[in-house]
Amino acid sequence: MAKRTQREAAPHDERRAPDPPDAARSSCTHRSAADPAKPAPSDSNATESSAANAAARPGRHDSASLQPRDDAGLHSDAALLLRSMQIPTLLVDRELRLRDFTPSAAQLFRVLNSDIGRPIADISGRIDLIAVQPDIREVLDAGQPRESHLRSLDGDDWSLVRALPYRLNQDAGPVDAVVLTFTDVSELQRALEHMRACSERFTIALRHAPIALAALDRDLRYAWVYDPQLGLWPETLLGHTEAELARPALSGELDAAMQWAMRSGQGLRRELTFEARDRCTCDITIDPFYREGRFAGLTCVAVDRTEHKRAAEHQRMLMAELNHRVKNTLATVLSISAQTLPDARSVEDFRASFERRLHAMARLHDLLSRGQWARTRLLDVAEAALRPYAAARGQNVQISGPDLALRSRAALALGMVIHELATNAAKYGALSAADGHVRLAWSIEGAGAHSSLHIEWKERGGPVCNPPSTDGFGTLFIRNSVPYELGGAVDLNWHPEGLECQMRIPWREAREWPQVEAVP
Amino acid sequence: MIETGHRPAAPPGAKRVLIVEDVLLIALEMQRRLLEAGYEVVGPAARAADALRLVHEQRPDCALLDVDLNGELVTEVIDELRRLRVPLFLTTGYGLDRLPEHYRDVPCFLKPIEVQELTRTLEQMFQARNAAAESPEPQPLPNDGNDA
Repeated sequence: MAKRTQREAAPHDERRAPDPPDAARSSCTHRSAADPAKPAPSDSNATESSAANAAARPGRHDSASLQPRDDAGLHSDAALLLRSMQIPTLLVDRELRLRDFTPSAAQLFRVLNSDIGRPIADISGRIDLIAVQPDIREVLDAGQPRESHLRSLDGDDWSLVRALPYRLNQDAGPVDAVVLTFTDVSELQRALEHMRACSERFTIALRHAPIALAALDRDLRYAWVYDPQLGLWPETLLGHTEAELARPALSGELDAAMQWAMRSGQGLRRELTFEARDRCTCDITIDPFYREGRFAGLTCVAVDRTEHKRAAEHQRMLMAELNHRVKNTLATVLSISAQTLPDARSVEDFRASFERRLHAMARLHDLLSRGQWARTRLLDVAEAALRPYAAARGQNVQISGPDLALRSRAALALGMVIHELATNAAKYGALSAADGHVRLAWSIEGAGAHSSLHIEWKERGGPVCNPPSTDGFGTLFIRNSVPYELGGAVDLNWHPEGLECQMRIPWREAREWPQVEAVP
Repeated sequence: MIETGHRPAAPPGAKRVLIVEDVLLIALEMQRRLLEAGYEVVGPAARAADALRLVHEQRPDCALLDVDLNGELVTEVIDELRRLRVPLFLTTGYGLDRLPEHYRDVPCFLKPIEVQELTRTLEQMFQARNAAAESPEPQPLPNDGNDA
């Protein structure tokens, strides 16, 4: 045993100071107290400081020694044990001077035997010992161990620094020194930091997600909740079961689902609608979890599906509306074709009239779709209908009136009526003559519920105007469309100076509709 | 009735068919085709209120109802026609799923309506009803929408 100790100790010979005489064994604490202002030895003066240390460390293997000595049996064993444990350890006296250290302390600090007796604040290394000083003082004062996590000065590693009271009298009395042990906890710290970062990211992500979470214990009591948005699981639920909460229109279904998940041991998914801040529809997923093979509780995840449901409903409504419009449009086209035929003098004549009407409809549909089938400007409707006739000559068409927004059916009806008036004018009326012109003007008359839209069409400067012998499709449409579809009145006059058409439409029938709302 | 200027007169004793349809051009075309097929046309009406008034004033023998009258469902008119046991058909662009459940068994024509199919269906329905009325034995009525 002694032999091995000798051999083991050999590499440390260069920093081993001569052993102090046994007579000085008990003088350690007194010496330190008597010489608090002893200056730190400099590294460059190693021989001198070694000698000084030797003097400053009387009997340290009896009192406060950490290094293996080859001259003592039991103490060498204890010291060897310390060294084999490879735990960097410093012994610091009441004046915060280094009293001793284990060989492995050299992993962290640039310490030589000659440093013994120097203030620890002067000892450089990978850990800032100044940062440990408050802990040391606390241990010296209170006699209780302290722990702290310190980052290495190069920032790569973390140490758990334990400051332990060291007493010469084993169980009581003042603290004579402080043992500092340094445990590398870099891995643990990195794992902790990783977890903390993950948790933080998770929290941030969840904060902006329409998600709520809850965990229930084996008795189905709420043990943890996270619900910043939905209002499904407020923190006031903690410690309660859903059954005892008896929340109207919610607890019954939720409790039944939880009971089922507990009994069956299977996860489940339910859609639940409840009154929270707003009427809210959630997809709730409930999963049991186990500890050591036994049911330990449930985790619940609620995802807000309200917006999704509204959007799906809105889309379904739009599809139905589109279908309705497409089919109505096809039926209208068939009708236009059938109604155009009796007026036609030839196939060419039919084709020209039919195409003109379809193009007029197509232009109107463009306008309606631009206004999302909710609001279309009367000015745009008038211009779309008159554009083919106004383009060639600048001043033959005058349009005037306030900026009004129409609902789609009014825009369609008025657009087609103006188209028929313009077509008729181009064929037989004012727009067929070089000096002819048309004035289209509108205004709102009256106020409130009984106000009406008044539209006036006036042709002048064309050939002498005579009423047609038979009404064709155009006249039929002009006379009937506004009364039939919009509940208005039409007055069509063949003045000799030119055709005049007055239309009065209840404004409530023609004005724009509020945007289509998708309300479930 | 919308004056079209060139419509054939209905033969005496012609069955009278109510048209309820909110789009003028579609209503005109249905009116023209029914007149050509020898029916008398009641209406057309673009609104439920006008349709109800025509039902009461003119007691049509049959009705063709557009499901959606400018956003308003035609259910009130269906109810009244069922009460009066007037056979009725629905017309729609997209189906009956916007109607409440108990209206969905009403026979229905999808737009654009094929006129021959419409007139053939009307003819069969009236023949069946005549046969039922003349038969000494009570016979079940054909499915005319009143038995829901």
